[in-house]
Amino acid sequence: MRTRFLPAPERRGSALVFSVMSVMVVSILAAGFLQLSMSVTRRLNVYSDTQQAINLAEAGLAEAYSGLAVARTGNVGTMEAPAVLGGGLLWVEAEHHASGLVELECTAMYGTGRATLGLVCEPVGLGVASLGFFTDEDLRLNPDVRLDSYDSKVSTYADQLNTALNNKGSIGSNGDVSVASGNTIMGDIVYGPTGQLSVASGSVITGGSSARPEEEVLPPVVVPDIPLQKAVKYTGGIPMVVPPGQAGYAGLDIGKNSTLILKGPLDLVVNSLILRLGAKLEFDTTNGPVQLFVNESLDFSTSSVVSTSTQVTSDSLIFVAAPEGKSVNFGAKSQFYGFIYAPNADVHISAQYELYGGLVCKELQLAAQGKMHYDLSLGATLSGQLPILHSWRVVELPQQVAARRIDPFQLLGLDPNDLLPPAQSHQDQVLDVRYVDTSGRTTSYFGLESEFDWSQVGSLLYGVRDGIAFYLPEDYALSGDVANDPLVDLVDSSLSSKQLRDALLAASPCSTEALVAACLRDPPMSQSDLKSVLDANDPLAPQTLLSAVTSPSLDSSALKDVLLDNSPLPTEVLDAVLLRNPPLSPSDLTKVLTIQ
Amino acid sequence: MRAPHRSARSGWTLVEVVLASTFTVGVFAKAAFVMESALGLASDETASMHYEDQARRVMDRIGLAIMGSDRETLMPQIEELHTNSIRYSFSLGLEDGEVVWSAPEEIRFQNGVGTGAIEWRENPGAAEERRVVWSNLVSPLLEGEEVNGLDDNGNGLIDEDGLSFVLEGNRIVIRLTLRRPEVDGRLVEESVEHVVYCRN
Amino acid sequence: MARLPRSLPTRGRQGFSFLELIIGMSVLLVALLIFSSSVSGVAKQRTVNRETNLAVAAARNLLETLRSEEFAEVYALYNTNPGDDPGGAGTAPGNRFVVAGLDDAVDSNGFDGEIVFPDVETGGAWQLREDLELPELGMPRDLSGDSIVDDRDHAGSYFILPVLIRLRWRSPIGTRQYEMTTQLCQYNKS
Repeated sequence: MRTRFLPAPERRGSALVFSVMSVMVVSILAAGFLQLSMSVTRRLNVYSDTQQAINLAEAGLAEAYSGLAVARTGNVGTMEAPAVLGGGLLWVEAEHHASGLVELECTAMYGTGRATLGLVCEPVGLGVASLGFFTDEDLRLNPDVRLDSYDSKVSTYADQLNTALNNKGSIGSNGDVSVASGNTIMGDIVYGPTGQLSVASGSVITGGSSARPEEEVLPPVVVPDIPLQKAVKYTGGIPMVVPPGQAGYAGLDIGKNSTLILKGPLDLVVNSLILRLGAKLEFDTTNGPVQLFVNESLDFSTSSVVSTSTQVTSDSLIFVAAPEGKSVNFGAKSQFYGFIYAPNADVHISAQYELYGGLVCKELQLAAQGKMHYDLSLGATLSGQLPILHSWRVVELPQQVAARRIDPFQLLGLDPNDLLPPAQSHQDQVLDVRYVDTSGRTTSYFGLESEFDWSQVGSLLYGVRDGIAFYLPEDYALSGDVANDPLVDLVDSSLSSKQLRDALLAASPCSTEALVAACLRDPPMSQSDLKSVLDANDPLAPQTLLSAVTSPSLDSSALKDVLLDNSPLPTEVLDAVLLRNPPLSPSDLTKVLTIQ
Repeated sequence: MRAPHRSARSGWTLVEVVLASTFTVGVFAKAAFVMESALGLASDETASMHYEDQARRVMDRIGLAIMGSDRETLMPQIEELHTNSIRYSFSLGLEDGEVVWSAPEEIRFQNGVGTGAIEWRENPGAAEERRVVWSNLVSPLLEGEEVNGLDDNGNGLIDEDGLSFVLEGNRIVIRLTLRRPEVDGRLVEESVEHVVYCRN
Repeated sequence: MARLPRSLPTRGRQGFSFLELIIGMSVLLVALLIFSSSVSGVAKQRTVNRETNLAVAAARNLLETLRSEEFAEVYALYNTNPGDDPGGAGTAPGNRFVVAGLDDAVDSNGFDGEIVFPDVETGGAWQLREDLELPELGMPRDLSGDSIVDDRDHAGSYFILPVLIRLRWRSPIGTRQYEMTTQLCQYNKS
């Protein structure tokens, strides 16, 4: 009996054990299926998010690339303040290379997806020439210097004097800009990011002034690889002619009263170039441009003469590759139509070396009473021209982006509501625009773009970012929308009342348009400043007097003095005086009427 | 007195056992059937999911490789005809101010026994050639296609391989079918189609 | 005392095997239930994944196709208005599309997807506009490159084009939606 019951305890629970084992097998299977399903789902989600990120990165590249066509920098957002789009975020970093190529890299994050895409492109028509007159270090102008502009494609400088085109000079520096007494700056001044602008009394600046958002990088001069012949000291009576093609000299020393003619198309490399007393240098660009590369030193003595056969400024180019600290001296008598580029050199220009074109150098010593006229045709005019795309690529993810595949807003600690869309995330720039506002008034702005309200613009007349025109209709110079008198721009600028008074007094006699603008200025000039300007411009034209009557700057007494100084008054002015609101005081009115 | 009582209880046990056995056999049979169906379904689903996943990943790899290529330098250049291989170069970015391009690469279909493979080759044909098999589950022909000179699957291509490239202007249409016979003899097929625009 | 040890195991064996069987089967049934529900979950997830896969592929393939088109014609080719189709009215693909595999479209016309541009119908005509409040497209924004956001039609003067691909379909887990956003521009390859 005992043996019958002995197996019982072993069999007890065997079905349960079997069940539990079955459950375990089933559970393992289920877990396996679930795990596979989950891992595939996770990979799919990462794939889906990555596709989103790729398309957002494409959006960022499109934003930056098309931005370059309108003189933007190509930088859109930053990792700290990215742009938000389509539920993800992105930022674009632009690197401008000395070769003129721009490398854009856009990183986008969406959910767990990350993508960095890059492209290399070449913005059209950009170059250092668009900087106008520019120094890498502080720019200190000597007294009585005139810097202005013209457009050689339109007509001669003389024809454009005191027109709108004469008033678009571009003066810039990576450091401070000091404007001395008697300086006439017909255009804008853009000083360095940490620099300052100091304006001496008695100077005129017709444009605006602003700090540039970041320093300009001046690419080094790339000297063509041309073998150098031994140095030549030329003292002959007949001109020495360097024929078209390529030529190189260890040195060219043009002796007293000798002549050197450079016949284009020519690339000439010299270690040093000296023009002695009475020596002449002629850039003959009739058949093509002349590019002069100077490796070491350049010295045009005071009584030498430099000339260009044409007035095409892009055809006579002087590149100075002299090492840092070297000085180059443009002391010659000249009306030089061309462009000088000396990124490492200190450039000395005499008052008799009148430059039509552009100048970019490390330091500039422009003698008192010197004149330089920036040729607008040298400047970049993009007008929406797209950069040339050289290549596109998928870039390896930056380390800090590749790590931690979690929601990017959480990862970067950002609130999407605080972020701006790509179009509003471009890097800040100095903006110079003239436009018709929504109320139909033609006006202009010069300053940081972030401080400009584009919504007040009805239509654009021209637009410039960091010295590069992004909107410049071909007929803009002929358009009646553009002020003909640069002093009107001066009145419209952000100068203080006192600065404006000094400028207008220095420029007096002023045009009627400028005086009318001064009377109606918003914000108004102070009464004493306006009165000084009006007094300096007696007798005043009827339009000026009419504006003075309605000017918010003049009270009854000041207006009475102006009217008395210009009496007898034309009938329409008297009518305006009688209708003035607020009216003149009875005593002032009596005095005005009595003297008529 | 105890023995009869125990005997009676033994009979119930027998009935009980018969009933229980019948019930158990029924339940287990049903359970086995459910299990088999569920296992079949699950294995179908997971296999499909797996191949779908693999097809997508392989296709994504091909797409990303070709995306940065220059349409003008693609080989072959013939439009509208399908090919089973493509040779390309892509940009590596700027080096010393110059755009640098990669060594030529090739993605091609290699037919095998039963299934084919996708092979990626760097410097194809050169001494320094490097090759990697991206998938060896590629169907000899695209899903629905047969070697009969006809367009069986209605995609406009005739007798296309399991990996095919069609150049249409600046874009390339890539089609891929992965196929694998399961242990039970069933064939699991997954097809994907990718459109890629050549950026360069 | 001598019987007790004998009878106890007997009673235990007689009743316990049945109970054991019931419990065992119950456990097994529960396990089967869990297994089949997990299998059904996997099947459902597979369906969801398949749909997601199709939606992502459809959206990205369509964006690639848009990129390959002549940029100036993208809007006309893929907008709502058949009247401005470059090849003649009604010849362009338009803004609606069907995705093979996503068969249960929410759209009454059977379309799973649509291409969304910043446009609006005004007086019976469709206009590509800069002033629309569409944050998902980064709007309002300048489309024409003059930096101004105005209320004019820029269908013929855009130089950047925000675009959103939206797919909506019915799924076993309810109505689903998938969106993909990007911006297109003309790349100058010359």
